[in-house]
Amino acid sequence: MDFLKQYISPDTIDEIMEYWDEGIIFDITCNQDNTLKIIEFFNKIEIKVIDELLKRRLDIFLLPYEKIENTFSKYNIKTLVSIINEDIANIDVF
Amino acid sequence: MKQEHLQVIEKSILNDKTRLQEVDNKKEIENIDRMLDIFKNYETELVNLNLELLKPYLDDTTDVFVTLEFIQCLLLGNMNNQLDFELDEEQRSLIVWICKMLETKRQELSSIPKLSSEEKYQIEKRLKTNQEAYDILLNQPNIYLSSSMITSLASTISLSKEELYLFYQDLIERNNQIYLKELNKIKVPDIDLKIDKVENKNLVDEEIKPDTSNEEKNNLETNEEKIEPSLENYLSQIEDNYEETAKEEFLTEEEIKEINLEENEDVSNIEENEYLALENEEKYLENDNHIEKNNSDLLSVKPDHLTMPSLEDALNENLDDKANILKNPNQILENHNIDNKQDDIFNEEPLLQKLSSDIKEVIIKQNLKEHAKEILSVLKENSFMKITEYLLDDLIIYSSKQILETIFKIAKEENISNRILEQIPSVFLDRKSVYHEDNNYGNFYNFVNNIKVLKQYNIDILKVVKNSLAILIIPNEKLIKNLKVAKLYKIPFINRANHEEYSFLLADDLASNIDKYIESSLEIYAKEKTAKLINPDRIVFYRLYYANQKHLQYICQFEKDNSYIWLDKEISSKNGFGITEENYLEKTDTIVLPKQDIYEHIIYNDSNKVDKTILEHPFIKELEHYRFNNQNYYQINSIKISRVKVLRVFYALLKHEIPTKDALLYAIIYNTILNEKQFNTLRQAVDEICEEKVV
Repeated sequence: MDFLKQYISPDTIDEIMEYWDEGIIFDITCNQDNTLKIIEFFNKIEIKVIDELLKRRLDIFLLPYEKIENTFSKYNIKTLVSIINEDIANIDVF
Repeated sequence: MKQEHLQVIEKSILNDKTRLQEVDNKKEIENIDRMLDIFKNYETELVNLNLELLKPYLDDTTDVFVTLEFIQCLLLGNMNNQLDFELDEEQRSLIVWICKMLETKRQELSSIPKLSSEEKYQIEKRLKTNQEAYDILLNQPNIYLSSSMITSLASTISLSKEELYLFYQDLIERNNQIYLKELNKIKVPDIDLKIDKVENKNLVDEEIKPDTSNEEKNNLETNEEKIEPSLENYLSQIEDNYEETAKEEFLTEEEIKEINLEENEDVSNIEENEYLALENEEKYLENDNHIEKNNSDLLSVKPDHLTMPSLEDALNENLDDKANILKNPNQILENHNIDNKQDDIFNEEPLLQKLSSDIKEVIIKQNLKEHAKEILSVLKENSFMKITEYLLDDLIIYSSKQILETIFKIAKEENISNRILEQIPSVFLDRKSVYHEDNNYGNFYNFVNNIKVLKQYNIDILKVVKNSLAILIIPNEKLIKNLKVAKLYKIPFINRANHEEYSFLLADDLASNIDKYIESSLEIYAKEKTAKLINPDRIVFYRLYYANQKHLQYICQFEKDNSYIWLDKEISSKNGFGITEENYLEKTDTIVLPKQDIYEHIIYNDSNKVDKTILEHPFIKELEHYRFNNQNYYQINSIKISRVKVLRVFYALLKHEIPTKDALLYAIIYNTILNEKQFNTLRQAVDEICEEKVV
């Protein structure tokens, strides 16, 4: 998970590794490009809780990037981002 | 026990024999033949055996080991049914002897340093189970056995001590071989035993998985007949209650049906006839098992990947290939000597050039050229070409043609695209390898079994894929556990906005999470947005506790018509109400309640079910007076306690023979945020309940 170092702290990476099953970590690692694209996208639309999402909802980053972008485009992104920043449970719009 | 279960077990013994024939081990083949003879002799008796009691015994290391335990269980299983005949001294001493041997063996196994923590845990768990069996024998003089077993089985078994001892010796030798091989880093065919353990485990898990024992089923059937006349009235009562609940929670009847609870009534919403309500729940769960069984039957005639024997065949075929490769130890050396000649493999298949040098060496040394080619061929046939170097290495070591074909077949049937499979390549990998160290990330079995379970629960796989792909690869036991909890607590899969949400199935301790919301008066809120049940931040619950104690307003929107609730930002903000990870106890004036490791272990592993009988327990009957307004919680001096939590935890603790008063107090305070005064209040309430009943 070293590829995430530019976005989150080593402590957060440790927490992710501790909480999630090795299979998911393996899949995320095999799909680094996809994960980084999602992170870039979240940054772009100003989601501020990316580290929380990686820690608690790593499963979101397993979804294909194009699906995430497509789903978000169906919503008022500003509003959606606002409620996600308020509570990461609101990310479940897929 | 069903005939097909016996066939599965017999087949696994035969597989063992085939492997032994390949290595030409006459002594072991003789032992296996004896075992088969014994097995066949018992066949008629085994059909009537209580399978539930056998379950824990059928997931262990080798066939020989299993057979010993099988015989032990055969006796114990019948004992537990308390049938007609008394166990004679010779039979009793035989079981004691088997127990002792198994215990010794497991202790030997658990001391092997190379075992993973999971393997050690399994061995320890089984040690404990065996010890229990042993204790039963020593402490209960009047144990009964069935007549059929006495007449045709027990006499044979007592004469077979010597043979059984040979099996045991055989087991020690084979396990010692594995151990020595680990130490010496030498690979020889018997290492397959370790893999077979996993194959057989999954096979047995798949084939033999009823939740309800035969005895329970018989009881339920009998009870069902008894209540038949009043059932119709009762069902209409349940329906009324359902409508009432649906209104309360702002879910339509259709939505409730969608969450697969239409046949069921959970423990929370019935004021009268509680006993029957829970019985209904049991029947519902039993129906579930029937559904599972029926589905299994249906699946057994469906495509290969859904029938475990076929899967087993495929895997055994693969393992047999591996055994052939390793049949002649000299072959390794020969291969090593000709590695230069085989470099052309990597030129023939350009993709293989991407392999790491380590894996190239393994391919050459262990003659895996055909294996590698087959893997590439299946990937090409299925147009799966997104193979990173990282993945390619693992595919060679942890996958096989059969595994890949199985996954692609499932994917096609479920309309799962290659794009999705690309996101979860761990499904192509097994966790075991004869070529290399084992791994903990192969999700082949989780994927196959999770799809099977989701279908049994009538959950649309594609919707799960869209909503939360990770559900397909979480540990199968976790998925089953969470689906049971979802039913117990009536957690909906469809929210008010008609949006399907499955991601909460990823939660680590789903039952405790929903309990926390119930005790914070936010059950509806949690069920409205079920993603909140995944890994909720515990500090949020301390802020809610604080707000409740101080009578602060934190629900900032509550539309009566649709129950849509928003919590004040203070609750989720990093420093809400000034409460942080560092000061939450001090700020809320709460205490950390002492935790008992044994209790926690029991609760974590065995508290997903509420048995109907628990409502008849005198302490629970007394506690029910505290049930607030037919809600899902007890209210004891304004402290809210999740009712389902108490019932499931109390039941689990009692089942494991924890003293009743301790169990009740632990069930009530389990995971509840309390200050000292509140803790004392609850303790006093428990004292009163227990004293009243004692008097």
